[in-house]
Amino acid sequence: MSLALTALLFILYYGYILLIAVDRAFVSRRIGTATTLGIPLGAAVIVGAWILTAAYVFWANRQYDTEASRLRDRLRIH
Amino acid sequence: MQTTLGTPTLSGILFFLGIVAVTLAVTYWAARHTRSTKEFYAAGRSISPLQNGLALAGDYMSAASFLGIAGLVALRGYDGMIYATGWLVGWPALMFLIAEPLRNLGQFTFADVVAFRLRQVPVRIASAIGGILTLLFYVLAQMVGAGNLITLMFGLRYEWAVLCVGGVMLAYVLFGGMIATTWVQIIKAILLLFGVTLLTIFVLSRFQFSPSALYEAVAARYGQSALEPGGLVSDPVDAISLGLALMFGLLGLPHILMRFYTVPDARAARTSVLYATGFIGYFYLIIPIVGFGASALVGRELIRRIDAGGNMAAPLIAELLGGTPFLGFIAAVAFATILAVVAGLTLAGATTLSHDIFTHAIRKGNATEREQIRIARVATLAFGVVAVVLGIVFKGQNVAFMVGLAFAVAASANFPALLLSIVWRRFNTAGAVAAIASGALLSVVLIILSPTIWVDLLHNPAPVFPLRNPAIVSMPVGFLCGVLASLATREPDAESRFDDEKLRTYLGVGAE
Repeated sequence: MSLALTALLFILYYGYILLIAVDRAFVSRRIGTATTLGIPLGAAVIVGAWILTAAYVFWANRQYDTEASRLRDRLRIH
Repeated sequence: MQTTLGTPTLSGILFFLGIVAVTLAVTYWAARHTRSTKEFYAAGRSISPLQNGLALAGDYMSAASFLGIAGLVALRGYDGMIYATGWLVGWPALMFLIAEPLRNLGQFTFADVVAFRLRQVPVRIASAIGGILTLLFYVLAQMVGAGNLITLMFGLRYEWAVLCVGGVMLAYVLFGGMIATTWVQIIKAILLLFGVTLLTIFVLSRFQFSPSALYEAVAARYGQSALEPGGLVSDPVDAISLGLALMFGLLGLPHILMRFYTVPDARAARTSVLYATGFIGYFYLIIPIVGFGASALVGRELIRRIDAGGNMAAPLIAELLGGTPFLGFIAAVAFATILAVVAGLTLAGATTLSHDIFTHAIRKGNATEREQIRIARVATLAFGVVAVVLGIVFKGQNVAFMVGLAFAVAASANFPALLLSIVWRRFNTAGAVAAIASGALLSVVLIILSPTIWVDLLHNPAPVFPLRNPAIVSMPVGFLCGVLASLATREPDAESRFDDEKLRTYLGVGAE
């Protein structure tokens, strides 16, 4: 799970940087009178990074901790 | 517009004294609860996740990110926004890879984790060198920045400004240890988030609360190019290298890592990263609006005339929209920002010197609580004095690259040793020493040979190393040297203790 989320984070951030490097015209496209597509894209990287963090906490609190405490109990018995 | 920047104003001085008075009162209270090493280094492990989330944000968001990024956006438009995203993306990585194992395995420093199943003395010394180098580069940039900023804002002499920051910060750390440092960072984070939120609301109120009206005003004044990517990502390899340093550097910053020992357990560490990422993400989302607002309303010409680097963009827009009292408030917030970061760095430096070098490398773990606390205070004083002296010696030098260097060393030396020690059974003492030594050395050498120093400071015609950011080379080399040195030597003890370590890493069995 950690590794999958790390991979998503890589795609999100380095994808954004590479997109700017490779296709500048696309990022510079206007979506309003002056606003460029790059502005919501940059904001989306920040929000996306936070959502990945929240997804991890959600998974760890619900699944990982339950599994870990079950394993700890088993260790104590033996 | 007329500006009172550079002259002391009544409101500025009042806010400034108010912050110093409140934080010193907190320190006085904290000093009475700071007796054991656990209290001095880790606030008794009694900090709640929300408090630690705020303190992490306060430890991380430096004046460079507040004034620097607002200025970068004001002067260079969209490029500043690309840069801002890089400062956030390390936080999820810190959560996924390091935060919980670090909390479960360590006691006070990241070296506790690296040295967990390895030979104490060499690993402690190597980790301490990596840690202290990172902290010194970082604190040097902070001190020079502090001197310049306070001179610009209050008109105080540079040397006095550096001494003043050093003196107040030492009072926090010497007497109040981690408890005082944590509360100074919490107060600073709240003030900074509040101040920047107010600034954003003031800016947007001039544009009928429509960001697109703000962007139109920027485009009308400085052309559509202000909203398009400019020179920052012109070289994608360099941009990725900067991104790597910012992302993985965070995972090797000693002053950030040691904050995880202030919470009761791994679950609390996890929750505190979520809070911190929320606060820091919010900050980097809205700070470009302040920068664009300064561009549209104050104008790039005036911002550049007052400070060529653009650092005064946020104070200037504050004065324009909220008058002298609001400028005084924002200036005091910038001052609190510097104090909180420098206090965190000094505490981390002192902990490294006393816990890793004195207690474990010199005394082999045999030192009484009293001795350790005494040495920790001496180390605090030593690190603080070195920070002030460095700040004064480097007066007038361009040291902005020092923060980049700190992140490069952290990403190339501290992070590889930390990660490999957690995940790889075959990792051993030789590997840890090799990873830290090669990563740190290569980062420093490559920065010296890069355009930043070789061409801009030493005035050579062409750089030996073409990139401004070395991490894309130095980080893989740090990992590679760690792996090769481990494979070349055998350390059966380290391998056999890996199973115990795993129980503690992933299940928290035996964690302090």
